[in-house]
Amino acid sequence: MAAGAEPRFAVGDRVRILDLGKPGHVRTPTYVRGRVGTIERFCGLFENPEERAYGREGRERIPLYRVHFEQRELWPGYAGDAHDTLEIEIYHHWLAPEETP
Amino acid sequence: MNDAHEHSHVHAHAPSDDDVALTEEEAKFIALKSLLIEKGLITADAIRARMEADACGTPHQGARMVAKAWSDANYKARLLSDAKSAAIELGIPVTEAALLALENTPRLHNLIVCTLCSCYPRSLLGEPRCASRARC
Repeated sequence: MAAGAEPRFAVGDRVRILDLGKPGHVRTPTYVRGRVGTIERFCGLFENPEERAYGREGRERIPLYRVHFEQRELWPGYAGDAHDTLEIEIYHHWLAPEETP
Repeated sequence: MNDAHEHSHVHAHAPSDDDVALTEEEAKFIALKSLLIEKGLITADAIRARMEADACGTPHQGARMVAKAWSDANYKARLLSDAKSAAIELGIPVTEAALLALENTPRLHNLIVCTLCSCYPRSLLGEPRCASRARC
């Protein structure tokens, strides 16, 4: 395993989704960027689709997590059930501990 | 089909594929395929094998896994802990890297929202349904 590829977050950790402003084939939708969620599970190590999509060589496998959100925290004025949640898979370089500004 | 005959008569049948002009996408596909084969980058056999593998996927396979889980608690536990192995156990050759099964309960209803970028589990469920595509 490459250095830095070890899981950094544990189930239950509160994490903030970073807004890397990265163009191209990214898998982090804008509506979760800057939001705080909870690590639901570690999914495993996968090649980074942001590199793979462009056929780049020497791609390392990086940690992927499922992150759990409350829908009402993602959508202002959310009109659905107060218990509605969202789970989405996010690669580790888009994640930081909650206290990150 | 022989296109040489005059179309002065009325056809009793719907036009076959041969009667319809290629769409731009179909023409591009044929041109690209021909070039790749001509340059030796891929073989016609490899394309056919992939199309045959894709044709094996169908939503009925997913339904078979769910029905098995209803009647076999041990299988259900294996399905929820490792869905890919549970599919392979039923003879379904899943080729995707990973597969996750989620359980609906009286209090929790899962809605899977797939962006259809490239991660749809075609080897298990087949081609995505037309209605879930933006372009079709």
